[in-house]
Amino acid sequence: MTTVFFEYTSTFNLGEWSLNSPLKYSSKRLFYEDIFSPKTITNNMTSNSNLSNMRRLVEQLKLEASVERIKVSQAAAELQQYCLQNAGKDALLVGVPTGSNPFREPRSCAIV
Amino acid sequence: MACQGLQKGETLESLKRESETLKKKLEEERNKLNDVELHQVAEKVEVLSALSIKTRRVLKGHGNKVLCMDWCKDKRRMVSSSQDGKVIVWDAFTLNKEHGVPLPCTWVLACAYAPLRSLCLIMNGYLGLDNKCSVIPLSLDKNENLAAKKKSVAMHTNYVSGCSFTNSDMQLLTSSGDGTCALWDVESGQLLQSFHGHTADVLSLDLAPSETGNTFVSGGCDMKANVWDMRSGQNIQSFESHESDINCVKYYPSGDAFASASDDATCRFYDLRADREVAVYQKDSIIFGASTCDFSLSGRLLFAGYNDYTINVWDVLKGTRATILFGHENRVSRVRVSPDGTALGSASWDSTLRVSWSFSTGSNYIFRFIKLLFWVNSRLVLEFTVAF
Repeated sequence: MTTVFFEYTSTFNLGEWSLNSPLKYSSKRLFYEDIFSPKTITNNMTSNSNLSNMRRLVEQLKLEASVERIKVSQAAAELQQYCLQNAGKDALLVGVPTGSNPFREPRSCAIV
Repeated sequence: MACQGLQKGETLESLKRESETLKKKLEEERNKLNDVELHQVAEKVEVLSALSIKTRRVLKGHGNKVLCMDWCKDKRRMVSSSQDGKVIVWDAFTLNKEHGVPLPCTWVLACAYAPLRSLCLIMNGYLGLDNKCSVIPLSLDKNENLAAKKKSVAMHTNYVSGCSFTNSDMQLLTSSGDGTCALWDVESGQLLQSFHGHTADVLSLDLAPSETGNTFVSGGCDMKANVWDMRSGQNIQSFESHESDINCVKYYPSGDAFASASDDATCRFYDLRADREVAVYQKDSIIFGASTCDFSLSGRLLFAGYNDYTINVWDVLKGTRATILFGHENRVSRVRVSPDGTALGSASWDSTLRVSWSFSTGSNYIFRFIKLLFWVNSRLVLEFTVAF
């Protein structure tokens, strides 16, 4: 765990470069060989963990393949319906009355 | 667990082959249902009239890049965090700064308002090796030392990239550069569930909008967007069609779809029930990555902030660009639509935030006429009072 810490600090101490770019570029990309335990070093462990990884991947793919799906035409029609139903309430689409405060509660005017 | 031996007839090669065939089968199943494109279905929908969304407020006050912003549930306050180590709560209309919380860490990557109480959540980046997520309760008493009441909730082994309170407000969901997402209990700081499956940094997450929903979507540097079940920790669906890091994921308001913004200069729209990508929002003239995206209230518009300092507004159904918002002088780091959909807040590396909304052009003439009437009225009143 301590080793990992030092790795991170050394990549970060690149000064200006790291402060001007998103954080993801200064962190290491981690490729898990065994997801449930810290990165292991010995070769034995590596081959076994590759195997368990593959097994996990196969299980995951089986799960994903069994998901119930609907046709795109039906899904698209429902998305469109939702959009059109709510279009009237969408202030960014329709607009608020000119010059008014959009954050005030909408009050109805009564002409006395 | 890692020392499990080989089962009968199972080898690494056979498993690889099996995974390949399963992947192909998955593609086939998905393609079978791809009978029509979204924009073809939307051909009959009216084309959007010219949008009049413009920047109406510019919030200045941060000393350095604004990394993140979020709206409060009272629909007019915003909270923003910046690289100068400050978190400021603003009133979006009057531009008042209501609270300013200085923090010892400069990489405050994200912040959010708790849905039920006025809790402000702040995330600390990893300068100072602080890969923690802290919660700060906000109060109206300006003299209180808010930073002292900071409470550390989540702890990762790498920077924390995104956070969100769940519906109940008692739990916190975080995503991290260590490739995992985690669910924490706010009071005790205990880890309730962790989500493994990404093979690189997870950059963003979003919770499903429904009250009873217990799923969320996460996007990461492995170009995948995964949908998870919060209770079981299981990865339900996975979408891999981007060509570069996914910077931001956001659910469609109905909860049946989500959009993702990526470094490959496209935003993509995925439907969860059809289990595939249904639209790609791209243009040859857009070559810079999109770092953030959000939907309007009805879901018709998708606002995406890009690294070329602009915000492109896409028509979700037709797949075309509706309008483009200029104004920022550096990368747009975050765009968020206010909870009731009236305004769009955007934060940028140029240390300002901008609030934009749309005035309806139809009422323009009526408004001017009423203004004229009031002016005439006030002049008459003035004449009378002078006479008296």
